[in-house]
Amino acid sequence: MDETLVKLIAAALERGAKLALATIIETKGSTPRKAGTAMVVWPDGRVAGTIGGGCSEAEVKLRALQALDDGRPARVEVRMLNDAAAEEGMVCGGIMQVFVQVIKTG
Amino acid sequence: MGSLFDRLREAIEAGISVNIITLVETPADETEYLGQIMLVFPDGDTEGTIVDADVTAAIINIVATKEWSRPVLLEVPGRGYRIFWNRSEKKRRAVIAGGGHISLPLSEILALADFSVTVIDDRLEFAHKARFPKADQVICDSFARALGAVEINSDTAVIIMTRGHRYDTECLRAVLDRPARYIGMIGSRRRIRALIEQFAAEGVKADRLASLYAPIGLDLGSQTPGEIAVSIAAEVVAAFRGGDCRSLSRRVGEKHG
Repeated sequence: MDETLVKLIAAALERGAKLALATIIETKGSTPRKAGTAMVVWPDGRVAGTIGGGCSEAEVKLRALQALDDGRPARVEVRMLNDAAAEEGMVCGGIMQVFVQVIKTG
Repeated sequence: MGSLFDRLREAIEAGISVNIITLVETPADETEYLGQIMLVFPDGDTEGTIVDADVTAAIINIVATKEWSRPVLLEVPGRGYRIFWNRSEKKRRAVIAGGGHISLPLSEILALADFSVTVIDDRLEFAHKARFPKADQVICDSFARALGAVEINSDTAVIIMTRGHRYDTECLRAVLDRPARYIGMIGSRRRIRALIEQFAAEGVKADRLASLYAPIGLDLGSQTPGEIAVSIAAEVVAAFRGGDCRSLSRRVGEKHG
């Protein structure tokens, strides 16, 4: 986890804010970013960091907002090799596993 | 999780790399533990627990005995738990000695590549923030004094390209025994050979001199300041990421895209 995200999360917790942390935990085939890459999603939809952009990131962002709503972590499998992905031009051809967790004080 | 991230932030600021363990898979009836985080410090100290004392101890054992290579998903032997083992990374830093015409594009390219950039020059007209808008820090001072004062660690690249041979030598002397990830110096082969001979005669260890990137940069056929900056930035990135600097199209194996 990089310094920028750690500082951002620590500062958010000091203010009592809640956020979701989405981390790529495993990749197969070609993916834009590798395991360990993370992004933060705020309850209002703002995002910091990137796990590769595009549709896959949008999908993870939605799941992160859902996790913030129900207060439970989630696992998202992002497939970049199906027809929909190909149509959108996501031609990396890989699969990534993303773990979404809710970070809050206490 | 406030105190955990506070400790993580403190460690990063102190330049310490911390193991960050997250529980990402459990048996179906234990999902309440999912997302628990635990820190394991290089000295063995820990913060937080995962599931219970037994599982926490098993994880500490994994971190102590397995060699770290990259962020990885691992099984905790026995009860069906999987953890994600990550580490904290300090922001990479680049220190550019010399505020000349190559430093301008270089400071911008390195900032784009997520380096925190420091530029040093001893002339005020070359060392001010307006000249280097993408640099986090611009220092106007003698090279030796400024380099002595900045932090140089295993996440730091030092790029030496002052206006003259004498100052380059002064800079190299100031950083050669510091634990930088990358030290590069601009100059012709002939000039650099003479300098290395001089340092060797002074008793500088051969391995330190061998690790020097000089002449600096990759062989891109660069001519202009911007092109030379690209070749230097590419070499710096490769030094941090372990790249072999060949065109991907010339490599056998998996390609991106």
